[in-house]
Amino acid sequence: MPIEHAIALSRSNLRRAVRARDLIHASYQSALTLDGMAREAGLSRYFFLRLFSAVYGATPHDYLTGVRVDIAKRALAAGASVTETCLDVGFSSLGSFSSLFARRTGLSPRDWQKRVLCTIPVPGIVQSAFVPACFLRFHGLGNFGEAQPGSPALPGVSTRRPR
Amino acid sequence: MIVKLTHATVYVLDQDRAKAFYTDKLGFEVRDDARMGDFRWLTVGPKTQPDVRIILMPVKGPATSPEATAALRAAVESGALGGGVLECEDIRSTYEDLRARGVEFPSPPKEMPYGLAAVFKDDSGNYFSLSEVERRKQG
Repeated sequence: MPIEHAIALSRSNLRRAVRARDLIHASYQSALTLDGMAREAGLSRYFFLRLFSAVYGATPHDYLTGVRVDIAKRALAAGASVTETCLDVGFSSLGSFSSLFARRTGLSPRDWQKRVLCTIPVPGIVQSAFVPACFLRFHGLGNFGEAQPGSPALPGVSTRRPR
Repeated sequence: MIVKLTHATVYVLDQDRAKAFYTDKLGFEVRDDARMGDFRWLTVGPKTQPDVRIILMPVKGPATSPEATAALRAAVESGALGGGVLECEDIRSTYEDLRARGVEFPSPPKEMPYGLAAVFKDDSGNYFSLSEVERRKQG
């Protein structure tokens, strides 16, 4: 039986899961443990694991890894070095970081960075890499590679290079 | 095969005001708030559902014609645009809680064929249904 089917998602349980998730977002740079997160949520280790998985569809560890990888992507897109990013998001080993990053994205951090820096939709605006293209287009900021009247042609390949 | 909805748009009259409504009153969290020139990418979502973003999109965009902006504004203000359906774990307590925070409910919770539901308006005039999640009691 999937573990998420055994939990009643009462208000108090939801609040506990949210509290643990808030802790992950606030402390992703630290060495968070299952015991520490369970303590924060005021639950036993096993019940916390089941509850968190039921609410978020991932174990606390997988969720934490996802948060770290998402934040790493933003740092890499902003031009941070791979080593700097690895340490900033709470990994102590470059090998573990690179391997986890590759497992999640299909590319090494370095290759991912190269690719993103070459395809930022709005030149000079790193945040635009994370905005879906249809919304950029609605605001006249993206062109899906088409020419738009009155807008400067957006480059298919930027001249920016990672540090 | 399409497997998931990740972003949904709600047109708002004022992004600052909408941000305050969705966070302070509904209890959502801000997922993105980035400015790119005149464009502000502002998204929010419930803390228990991190894989979906509600885009608080201004009715007026740099590339939107004045006619389209006026039509969109009128549609939002008149309540012609439905925002969507939100679920809670206990509709009666959530209803009281949101009302105490100043959320306007044109329709209080009532039994519908699909369950208990209420209707509220956001600060721009978008209507949302609030329904009660089916309780899981297998555990």
